[in-house]
Amino acid sequence: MTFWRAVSAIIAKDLTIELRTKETLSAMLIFALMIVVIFDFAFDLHPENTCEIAPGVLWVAFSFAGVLGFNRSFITEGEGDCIEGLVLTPADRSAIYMGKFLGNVLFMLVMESMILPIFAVLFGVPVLNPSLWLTIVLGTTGFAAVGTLFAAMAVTTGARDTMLPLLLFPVAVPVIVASTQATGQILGSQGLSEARTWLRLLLAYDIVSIVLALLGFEYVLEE
Amino acid sequence: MANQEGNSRIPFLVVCTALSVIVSLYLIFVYAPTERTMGDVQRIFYFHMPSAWASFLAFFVAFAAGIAYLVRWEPHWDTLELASVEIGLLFSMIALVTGSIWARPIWNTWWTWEPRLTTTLVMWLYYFASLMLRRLVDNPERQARFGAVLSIVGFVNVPVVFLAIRLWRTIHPVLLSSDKGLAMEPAMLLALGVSLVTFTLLYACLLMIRVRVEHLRHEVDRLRELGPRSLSNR
Amino acid sequence: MTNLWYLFAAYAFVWTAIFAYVHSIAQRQRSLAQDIKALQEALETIQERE
Repeated sequence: MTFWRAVSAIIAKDLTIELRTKETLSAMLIFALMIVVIFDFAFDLHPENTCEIAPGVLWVAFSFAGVLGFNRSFITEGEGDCIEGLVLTPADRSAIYMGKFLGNVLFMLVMESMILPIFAVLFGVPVLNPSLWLTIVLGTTGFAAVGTLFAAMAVTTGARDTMLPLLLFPVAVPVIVASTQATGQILGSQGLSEARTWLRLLLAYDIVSIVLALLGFEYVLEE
Repeated sequence: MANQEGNSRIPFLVVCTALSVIVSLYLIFVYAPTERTMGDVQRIFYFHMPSAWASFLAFFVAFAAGIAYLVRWEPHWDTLELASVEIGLLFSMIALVTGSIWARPIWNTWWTWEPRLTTTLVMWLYYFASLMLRRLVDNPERQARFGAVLSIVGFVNVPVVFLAIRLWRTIHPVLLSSDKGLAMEPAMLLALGVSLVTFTLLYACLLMIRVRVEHLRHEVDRLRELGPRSLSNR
Repeated sequence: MTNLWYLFAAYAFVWTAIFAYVHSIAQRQRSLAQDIKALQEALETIQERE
Protein backbone atom coordinates (compact mmCIF):
# COMPACT_ATOMS: atom_id res chain seq x y z
CA MET A 1 0.00 0.00 0.00
CA THR A 2 1.55 3.24 -1.06
CA PHE A 3 2.24 5.89 1.50
CA TRP A 4 -0.33 8.46 0.45
CA ARG A 5 -3.02 5.90 -0.10
CA ALA A 6 -2.55 4.70 3.46
CA VAL A 7 -2.62 8.27 4.71
CA SER A 8 -5.87 9.09 2.92
CA ALA A 9 -7.40 5.83 4.10
CA ILE A 10 -6.71 6.80 7.70
CA ILE A 11 -8.06 10.31 7.21
CA ALA A 12 -11.14 8.93 5.47
CA LYS A 13 -11.73 6.50 8.31
CA ASP A 14 -11.49 9.17 10.97
CA LEU A 15 -13.69 11.52 8.95
CA THR A 16 -16.35 8.87 8.50
CA ILE A 17 -16.43 8.15 12.22
CA GLU A 18 -16.64 11.84 12.91
CA LEU A 19 -19.41 12.46 10.41
CA ARG A 20 -21.43 9.74 12.05
CA THR A 21 -20.92 10.73 15.69
CA LYS A 22 -19.91 14.40 15.41
CA GLU A 23 -18.45 13.97 18.89
CA THR A 24 -14.99 15.41 18.50
CA LEU A 25 -15.79 18.46 16.47
CA SER A 26 -18.71 19.51 18.61
CA ALA A 27 -16.63 19.12 21.78
CA MET A 28 -13.85 21.22 20.27
CA LEU A 29 -16.26 23.88 19.07
CA ILE A 30 -18.08 24.25 22.34
CA PHE A 31 -14.86 24.36 24.31
CA ALA A 32 -13.31 27.01 22.09
CA LEU A 33 -16.50 29.02 22.14
CA MET A 34 -16.66 28.86 25.93
CA ILE A 35 -13.11 30.13 26.21
CA VAL A 36 -13.75 33.03 23.85
CA VAL A 37 -16.93 34.03 25.65
CA ILE A 38 -15.48 33.68 29.13
CA PHE A 39 -12.52 35.85 28.21
CA ASP A 40 -14.95 38.38 26.81
CA PHE A 41 -16.62 38.64 30.21
CA ALA A 42 -13.53 38.22 32.33
CA PHE A 43 -11.61 41.03 30.73
CA ASP A 44 -14.39 43.59 30.52
CA LEU A 45 -13.34 44.60 27.09
CA HIS A 46 -13.16 48.10 25.71
CA PRO A 47 -11.87 48.95 22.27
CA GLU A 48 -8.53 49.98 23.84
CA ASN A 49 -7.52 46.71 25.40
CA THR A 50 -9.17 44.44 22.86
CA CYS A 51 -6.31 44.58 20.42
CA GLU A 52 -3.81 43.52 23.05
CA ILE A 53 -5.82 40.64 24.38
CA ALA A 54 -7.52 39.36 21.26
CA PRO A 55 -4.65 37.35 19.72
CA GLY A 56 -3.93 35.64 23.03
CA VAL A 57 -7.55 34.72 23.57
CA LEU A 58 -7.84 33.35 20.08
CA TRP A 59 -4.83 31.11 20.42
CA VAL A 60 -5.71 29.94 23.92
CA ALA A 61 -9.08 28.89 22.57
CA PHE A 62 -7.55 27.19 19.54
CA SER A 63 -4.82 25.38 21.45
CA PHE A 64 -6.99 24.05 24.26
CA ALA A 65 -9.67 22.89 21.85
CA GLY A 66 -6.92 21.40 19.74
CA VAL A 67 -5.59 19.37 22.66
CA LEU A 68 -9.08 18.01 23.16
CA GLY A 69 -9.14 16.92 19.54
CA PHE A 70 -5.70 15.29 19.69
CA ASN A 71 -6.62 13.13 22.63
CA ARG A 72 -9.81 12.01 20.97
CA SER A 73 -8.03 11.15 17.75
CA PHE A 74 -6.25 8.34 19.56
CA ILE A 75 -8.91 7.39 22.07
CA THR A 76 -11.06 5.98 19.29
CA GLU A 77 -8.17 3.67 18.48
CA GLY A 78 -7.90 2.52 22.07
CA GLU A 79 -11.43 1.17 22.00
CA GLY A 80 -11.68 -2.33 20.71
CA ASP A 81 -7.92 -2.56 20.33
CA CYS A 82 -8.18 -0.74 17.02
CA ILE A 83 -4.65 0.43 17.42
CA GLU A 84 -3.41 -3.12 16.93
CA GLY A 85 -5.44 -3.22 13.76
CA LEU A 86 -3.80 -0.06 12.59
CA VAL A 87 -0.32 -1.31 13.32
CA LEU A 88 -0.93 -4.57 11.48
CA THR A 89 -1.94 -2.89 8.26
CA PRO A 90 0.69 -3.07 5.53
CA ALA A 91 1.36 0.60 6.02
CA ASP A 92 4.34 2.51 7.29
CA ARG A 93 4.17 3.82 10.86
CA SER A 94 4.90 7.19 9.32
CA ALA A 95 1.74 6.87 7.23
CA ILE A 96 -0.21 6.38 10.43
CA TYR A 97 1.36 9.50 11.82
CA MET A 98 0.66 11.48 8.66
CA GLY A 99 -2.92 10.31 8.59
CA LYS A 100 -3.54 11.20 12.23
CA PHE A 101 -1.64 14.47 11.95
CA LEU A 102 -3.45 15.68 8.84
CA GLY A 103 -6.75 14.58 10.33
CA ASN A 104 -6.03 16.62 13.44
CA VAL A 105 -5.06 19.64 11.35
CA LEU A 106 -8.26 19.27 9.37
CA PHE A 107 -10.45 19.11 12.45
CA MET A 108 -8.68 22.07 14.00
CA LEU A 109 -9.08 24.13 10.85
CA VAL A 110 -12.78 23.36 10.69
CA MET A 111 -13.17 24.36 14.32
CA GLU A 112 -11.14 27.51 13.78
CA SER A 113 -13.10 28.59 10.74
CA MET A 114 -16.27 28.36 12.73
CA ILE A 115 -14.86 30.18 15.74
CA LEU A 116 -13.38 33.06 13.76
CA PRO A 117 -16.66 34.78 12.83
CA ILE A 118 -17.89 34.59 16.41
CA PHE A 119 -14.57 35.91 17.59
CA ALA A 120 -14.81 38.74 15.09
CA VAL A 121 -18.20 39.74 16.44
CA LEU A 122 -17.32 39.47 20.12
CA PHE A 123 -13.96 41.20 19.90
CA GLY A 124 -14.63 43.53 17.03
CA VAL A 125 -11.56 42.55 15.04
CA PRO A 126 -11.35 42.15 11.25
CA VAL A 127 -10.85 38.53 10.35
CA LEU A 128 -11.37 38.61 6.58
CA ASN A 129 -7.64 38.74 6.11
CA PRO A 130 -5.72 36.10 4.13
CA SER A 131 -2.56 36.83 6.10
CA LEU A 132 -4.45 35.99 9.24
CA TRP A 133 -5.64 32.76 7.69
CA LEU A 134 -2.09 31.91 6.69
CA THR A 135 -0.91 32.52 10.24
CA ILE A 136 -3.65 30.29 11.59
CA VAL A 137 -2.80 27.50 9.17
CA LEU A 138 0.90 27.65 9.98
CA GLY A 139 0.32 27.82 13.73
CA THR A 140 -2.20 25.00 13.68
CA THR A 141 0.12 22.79 11.66
CA GLY A 142 3.02 23.23 14.06
CA PHE A 143 0.84 22.70 17.08
CA ALA A 144 -0.74 19.55 15.67
CA ALA A 145 2.60 18.13 14.56
CA VAL A 146 3.89 17.73 18.09
CA GLY A 147 0.42 17.28 19.54
CA THR A 148 -0.21 14.15 17.50
CA LEU A 149 3.08 12.61 18.60
CA PHE A 150 2.52 13.33 22.29
CA ALA A 151 -1.13 12.30 22.17
CA ALA A 152 -0.10 8.85 20.97
CA MET A 153 1.96 8.51 24.14
CA ALA A 154 -0.46 10.20 26.50
CA VAL A 155 -3.41 7.98 25.62
CA THR A 156 -1.56 4.89 26.79
CA THR A 157 -1.67 6.24 30.33
CA GLY A 158 -4.77 6.73 32.42
CA ALA A 159 -4.20 10.45 32.83
CA ARG A 160 -4.24 11.58 29.21
CA ASP A 161 -6.21 14.76 29.88
CA THR A 162 -3.57 16.08 32.26
CA MET A 163 -0.54 14.59 30.55
CA LEU A 164 -1.04 15.91 27.06
CA PRO A 165 -1.41 19.63 27.83
CA LEU A 166 1.40 19.49 30.39
CA LEU A 167 3.78 17.93 27.88
CA LEU A 168 2.61 19.76 24.79
CA PHE A 169 2.48 23.38 25.87
CA PRO A 170 6.14 23.75 26.86
CA VAL A 171 7.29 22.36 23.56
CA ALA A 172 4.68 24.39 21.68
CA VAL A 173 5.76 27.69 23.25
CA PRO A 174 7.56 28.83 20.06
CA VAL A 175 4.44 28.15 17.98
CA ILE A 176 2.09 29.89 20.35
CA VAL A 177 4.33 32.88 20.80
CA ALA A 178 4.98 33.27 17.09
CA SER A 179 1.31 32.78 16.24
CA THR A 180 0.03 35.27 18.79
CA GLN A 181 2.65 37.85 17.87
CA ALA A 182 1.97 37.49 14.16
CA THR A 183 -1.79 37.57 14.75
CA GLY A 184 -1.42 40.68 16.87
CA GLN A 185 0.57 42.45 14.22
CA ILE A 186 -1.73 41.46 11.40
CA LEU A 187 -4.88 42.44 13.29
CA GLY A 188 -3.31 45.70 14.37
CA SER A 189 -2.37 46.26 10.73
CA GLN A 190 1.16 47.16 11.71
CA GLY A 191 2.21 45.95 8.33
CA LEU A 192 2.95 42.46 7.20
CA SER A 193 6.70 43.01 7.26
CA GLU A 194 7.15 42.48 11.00
CA ALA A 195 4.70 39.63 10.97
CA ARG A 196 6.78 38.08 8.23
CA THR A 197 9.62 37.22 10.59
CA TRP A 198 7.22 35.47 12.91
CA LEU A 199 5.66 33.65 9.98
CA ARG A 200 9.05 32.50 8.82
CA LEU A 201 9.78 31.23 12.30
CA LEU A 202 6.46 29.40 12.24
CA LEU A 203 7.28 27.80 8.93
CA ALA A 204 10.67 26.66 10.19
CA TYR A 205 9.13 25.26 13.35
CA ASP A 206 6.48 23.45 11.29
CA ILE A 207 9.04 21.74 9.11
CA VAL A 208 11.32 20.76 11.97
CA SER A 209 8.51 19.46 14.15
CA ILE A 210 6.89 17.41 11.39
CA VAL A 211 10.21 15.76 10.58
CA LEU A 212 11.03 15.09 14.24
CA ALA A 213 7.53 13.83 14.95
CA LEU A 214 7.68 11.48 11.97
CA LEU A 215 10.93 10.05 13.29
CA GLY A 216 9.69 9.88 16.86
CA PHE A 217 6.42 8.20 15.95
CA GLU A 218 8.24 5.08 14.79
CA TYR A 219 9.54 4.64 18.32
CA VAL A 220 6.28 5.49 19.99
CA LEU A 221 4.12 3.02 18.14
CA GLU A 222 6.50 0.09 18.18
CA GLU A 223 5.20 -2.89 20.08
CA MET B 1 32.07 -7.36 40.30
CA ALA B 2 31.33 -4.04 38.66
CA ASN B 3 30.29 -2.51 41.97
CA GLN B 4 33.77 -2.78 43.42
CA GLU B 5 35.28 -0.73 40.63
CA GLY B 6 32.54 1.85 41.06
CA ASN B 7 33.21 1.96 44.78
CA SER B 8 36.79 3.08 44.33
CA ARG B 9 35.89 5.64 41.68
CA ILE B 10 33.07 7.37 43.48
CA PRO B 11 34.95 8.51 46.58
CA PHE B 12 37.48 10.35 44.39
CA LEU B 13 34.73 12.30 42.69
CA VAL B 14 33.15 13.04 46.03
CA VAL B 15 36.45 14.31 47.40
CA CYS B 16 36.88 16.62 44.42
CA THR B 17 33.36 17.90 44.85
CA ALA B 18 33.84 18.52 48.55
CA LEU B 19 37.02 20.49 47.87
CA SER B 20 35.29 22.46 45.17
CA VAL B 21 32.45 23.25 47.54
CA ILE B 22 34.82 24.55 50.18
CA VAL B 23 36.71 26.73 47.72
CA SER B 24 33.41 28.00 46.33
CA LEU B 25 32.11 28.90 49.74
CA TYR B 26 35.19 30.94 50.46
CA LEU B 27 35.00 32.73 47.13
CA ILE B 28 31.29 33.37 47.37
CA PHE B 29 31.12 34.61 50.93
CA VAL B 30 34.54 36.09 51.60
CA TYR B 31 36.40 36.83 48.41
CA ALA B 32 33.72 38.22 46.13
CA PRO B 33 33.06 41.92 46.65
CA THR B 34 29.67 43.15 47.74
CA GLU B 35 27.55 44.32 44.91
CA ARG B 36 26.90 48.03 44.79
CA THR B 37 23.16 48.24 44.22
CA MET B 38 21.84 45.00 45.68
CA GLY B 39 24.16 44.39 48.62
CA ASP B 40 25.05 41.01 50.01
CA VAL B 41 21.80 39.43 48.84
CA GLN B 42 23.31 39.40 45.39
CA ARG B 43 25.49 36.47 46.50
CA ILE B 44 22.49 34.23 45.95
CA PHE B 45 23.41 34.63 42.31
CA TYR B 46 26.41 32.35 42.82
CA PHE B 47 24.09 29.43 43.56
CA HIS B 48 21.17 30.50 41.43
CA MET B 49 22.90 30.74 38.08
CA PRO B 50 25.09 27.61 38.39
CA SER B 51 21.99 25.65 39.45
CA ALA B 52 20.26 26.70 36.29
CA TRP B 53 23.35 25.79 34.30
CA ALA B 54 23.51 22.37 35.96
CA SER B 55 19.90 21.73 35.04
CA PHE B 56 20.57 22.62 31.41
CA LEU B 57 23.54 20.27 31.43
CA ALA B 58 21.41 17.53 32.95
CA PHE B 59 18.69 17.95 30.37
CA PHE B 60 21.27 17.94 27.61
CA VAL B 61 22.72 14.67 28.89
CA ALA B 62 19.18 13.27 29.01
CA PHE B 63 18.69 14.39 25.42
CA ALA B 64 21.88 12.67 24.30
CA ALA B 65 21.16 9.55 26.32
CA GLY B 66 17.67 9.39 24.82
CA ILE B 67 19.11 9.42 21.33
CA ALA B 68 21.69 6.81 22.29
CA TYR B 69 18.97 4.59 23.71
CA LEU B 70 16.81 4.78 20.60
CA VAL B 71 19.82 3.97 18.46
CA ARG B 72 21.40 1.24 20.57
CA TRP B 73 18.55 -0.10 22.71
CA GLU B 74 20.97 -0.64 25.61
CA PRO B 75 19.22 -0.19 28.97
CA HIS B 76 22.05 1.72 30.60
CA TRP B 77 21.30 4.67 28.31
CA ASP B 78 17.74 4.66 29.55
CA THR B 79 18.99 4.63 33.13
CA LEU B 80 21.26 7.56 32.41
CA GLU B 81 18.41 9.48 30.82
CA LEU B 82 16.03 8.87 33.71
CA ALA B 83 18.60 9.81 36.34
CA SER B 84 19.62 12.93 34.47
CA VAL B 85 16.04 14.17 34.12
CA GLU B 86 15.45 13.68 37.85
CA ILE B 87 18.58 15.61 38.77
CA GLY B 88 17.79 18.26 36.18
CA LEU B 89 14.44 18.73 37.88
CA LEU B 90 16.18 19.08 41.23
CA PHE B 91 18.55 21.77 40.00
CA SER B 92 15.97 23.73 38.08
CA MET B 93 13.75 23.69 41.14
CA ILE B 94 16.66 25.06 43.14
CA ALA B 95 17.17 27.74 40.50
CA LEU B 96 13.50 28.70 40.58
CA VAL B 97 13.29 28.87 44.37
CA THR B 98 16.59 30.71 44.88
CA GLY B 99 15.58 33.07 42.10
CA SER B 100 12.30 33.72 43.85
CA ILE B 101 14.02 34.31 47.21
CA TRP B 102 16.43 36.69 45.54
CA ALA B 103 13.61 38.49 43.78
CA ARG B 104 11.68 39.26 46.93
CA PRO B 105 14.01 41.89 48.41
CA ILE B 106 15.11 43.22 45.03
CA TRP B 107 11.94 43.41 42.94
CA ASN B 108 9.57 43.32 45.90
CA THR B 109 7.67 40.29 44.72
CA TRP B 110 8.06 36.53 45.08
CA TRP B 111 7.13 35.90 41.51
CA THR B 112 6.46 37.70 38.28
CA TRP B 113 5.30 36.41 34.93
CA GLU B 114 8.49 37.48 33.35
CA PRO B 115 9.71 35.51 30.30
CA ARG B 116 12.73 33.74 31.74
CA LEU B 117 10.95 32.74 34.94
CA THR B 118 7.86 31.64 33.07
CA THR B 119 9.75 29.55 30.51
CA THR B 120 11.85 27.98 33.27
CA LEU B 121 8.73 27.05 35.22
CA VAL B 122 7.16 25.67 32.08
CA MET B 123 10.30 23.63 31.42
CA TRP B 124 10.16 22.25 34.96
CA LEU B 125 6.53 21.26 34.51
CA TYR B 126 7.33 19.53 31.25
CA TYR B 127 10.07 17.34 32.66
CA PHE B 128 8.00 16.64 35.76
CA ALA B 129 5.13 15.53 33.51
CA SER B 130 7.51 13.35 31.51
CA LEU B 131 8.59 11.54 34.68
CA MET B 132 4.94 11.15 35.64
CA LEU B 133 4.13 9.69 32.28
CA ARG B 134 6.94 7.16 32.67
CA ARG B 135 5.52 6.03 35.98
CA LEU B 136 2.04 5.67 34.51
CA VAL B 137 3.15 3.39 31.70
CA ASP B 138 3.19 -0.28 32.72
CA ASN B 139 5.43 -1.86 30.17
CA PRO B 140 9.07 -1.11 31.13
CA GLU B 141 10.26 -1.23 27.55
CA ARG B 142 7.61 1.26 26.51
CA GLN B 143 8.50 3.40 29.52
CA ALA B 144 12.05 3.64 28.27
CA ARG B 145 10.99 4.42 24.71
CA PHE B 146 8.58 7.15 25.74
CA GLY B 147 11.09 8.58 28.18
CA ALA B 148 13.67 8.79 25.42
CA VAL B 149 11.32 10.51 22.95
CA LEU B 150 10.16 12.96 25.61
CA SER B 151 13.71 13.82 26.64
CA ILE B 152 14.74 14.34 23.04
CA VAL B 153 11.83 16.57 22.06
CA GLY B 154 11.73 18.24 25.46
CA PHE B 155 15.23 19.56 25.10
CA VAL B 156 13.77 22.34 22.95
CA ASN B 157 12.79 23.87 26.31
CA VAL B 158 16.38 24.82 27.07
CA PRO B 159 17.05 27.12 24.12
CA VAL B 160 13.58 28.60 24.67
CA VAL B 161 14.64 29.62 28.19
CA PHE B 162 17.81 31.16 26.79
CA LEU B 163 16.08 33.05 24.04
CA ALA B 164 13.31 34.25 26.33
CA ILE B 165 15.48 37.17 27.31
CA ARG B 166 16.22 38.16 23.75
CA LEU B 167 12.68 37.86 22.51
CA TRP B 168 11.18 40.03 25.23
CA ARG B 169 12.48 43.01 27.08
CA THR B 170 12.62 41.91 30.68
CA ILE B 171 13.58 42.99 34.19
CA HIS B 172 15.68 39.86 34.58
CA PRO B 173 19.37 40.77 34.87
CA VAL B 174 21.17 39.99 31.65
CA LEU B 175 24.67 38.68 32.09
CA LEU B 176 25.95 38.55 28.54
CA SER B 177 25.15 41.53 26.40
CA SER B 178 26.62 41.94 22.95
CA ASP B 179 27.89 45.46 23.50
CA LYS B 180 29.22 45.24 27.03
CA GLY B 181 30.61 41.75 27.20
CA LEU B 182 30.56 40.18 30.65
CA ALA B 183 29.16 42.84 32.94
CA MET B 184 30.97 41.69 36.09
CA GLU B 185 34.11 42.35 38.04
CA PRO B 186 36.89 39.76 37.74
CA ALA B 187 36.60 38.72 41.39
CA MET B 188 32.94 38.01 40.89
CA LEU B 189 33.68 36.16 37.70
CA LEU B 190 36.08 33.92 39.58
CA ALA B 191 33.50 33.12 42.24
CA LEU B 192 30.95 32.42 39.54
CA GLY B 193 33.31 30.25 37.55
CA VAL B 194 34.32 28.10 40.49
CA SER B 195 30.70 27.83 41.53
CA LEU B 196 29.86 26.60 38.05
CA VAL B 197 32.52 23.93 38.41
CA THR B 198 31.17 22.97 41.84
CA PHE B 199 27.67 22.54 40.58
CA THR B 200 28.85 20.53 37.61
CA LEU B 201 30.72 18.21 39.97
CA LEU B 202 27.66 18.00 42.20
CA TYR B 203 25.62 17.00 39.19
CA ALA B 204 28.15 14.28 38.37
CA CYS B 205 28.08 12.94 41.93
CA LEU B 206 24.31 12.83 42.10
CA LEU B 207 24.20 11.21 38.69
CA MET B 208 26.55 8.43 39.76
CA ILE B 209 24.66 7.52 42.90
CA ARG B 210 21.30 7.72 41.18
CA VAL B 211 22.47 5.48 38.36
CA ARG B 212 23.91 3.04 40.86
CA VAL B 213 20.57 2.74 42.66
CA GLU B 214 18.87 2.13 39.35
CA HIS B 215 21.30 -0.69 38.58
CA LEU B 216 20.53 -2.20 41.97
CA ARG B 217 16.84 -2.07 41.10
CA HIS B 218 17.50 -3.89 37.83
CA GLU B 219 19.48 -6.48 39.79
CA VAL B 220 16.54 -7.02 42.14
CA ASP B 221 14.21 -7.47 39.18
CA ARG B 222 16.62 -9.90 37.59
CA LEU B 223 16.93 -11.97 40.75
CA ARG B 224 13.18 -11.96 41.22
CA GLU B 225 12.76 -13.51 37.81
CA LEU B 226 15.42 -16.14 38.48
CA GLY B 227 13.63 -17.37 41.61
CA PRO B 228 10.40 -18.65 40.07
CA ARG B 229 12.34 -20.05 37.13
CA SER B 230 14.61 -22.23 39.24
CA LEU B 231 11.57 -23.27 41.28
CA SER B 232 9.78 -24.38 38.15
CA ASN B 233 12.88 -26.20 36.95
CA ARG B 234 12.53 -28.80 39.67
CA MET C 1 21.94 43.79 56.72
CA THR C 2 18.25 42.93 56.75
CA ASN C 3 18.50 41.22 53.41
CA LEU C 4 20.99 38.71 54.76
CA TRP C 5 18.02 36.71 55.98
CA TYR C 6 17.13 36.06 52.35
CA LEU C 7 20.69 35.05 51.55
CA PHE C 8 20.60 32.55 54.37
CA ALA C 9 17.20 31.23 53.28
CA ALA C 10 18.36 30.66 49.73
CA TYR C 11 21.55 28.96 50.86
CA ALA C 12 19.69 26.77 53.35
CA PHE C 13 17.26 25.75 50.64
CA VAL C 14 19.99 24.71 48.25
CA TRP C 15 21.65 22.42 50.73
CA THR C 16 18.39 21.07 52.15
CA ALA C 17 17.18 20.16 48.67
CA ILE C 18 20.41 18.43 47.72
CA PHE C 19 20.68 16.52 50.96
CA ALA C 20 17.04 15.49 50.87
CA TYR C 21 17.63 14.01 47.44
CA VAL C 22 20.81 12.26 48.50
CA HIS C 23 19.01 10.89 51.56
CA SER C 24 16.16 9.51 49.47
CA ILE C 25 18.67 7.82 47.19
CA ALA C 26 20.55 6.37 50.15
CA GLN C 27 17.30 5.01 51.56
CA ARG C 28 16.40 3.39 48.29
CA GLN C 29 19.87 1.92 48.05
CA ARG C 30 19.65 0.42 51.53
CA SER C 31 16.31 -1.22 50.93
CA LEU C 32 17.36 -2.53 47.53
CA ALA C 33 20.59 -3.95 48.95
CA GLN C 34 18.51 -5.73 51.57
CA ASP C 35 16.23 -7.11 48.89
CA ILE C 36 19.19 -8.39 46.90
CA LYS C 37 20.66 -10.10 49.93
CA ALA C 38 17.33 -11.76 50.74
CA LEU C 39 16.78 -12.86 47.17
CA GLN C 40 20.31 -14.26 46.88
CA GLU C 41 19.89 -16.26 50.07
CA ALA C 42 16.55 -17.58 48.85
CA LEU C 43 18.15 -18.64 45.57
CA GLU C 44 20.97 -20.40 47.39
CA THR C 45 18.59 -22.39 49.56
CA ILE C 46 16.64 -23.40 46.47
CA GLN C 47 19.79 -24.46 44.69
CA GLU C 48 21.03 -26.42 47.72
CA ARG C 49 17.84 -28.40 47.83
CA GLU C 50 18.37 -29.56 44.25
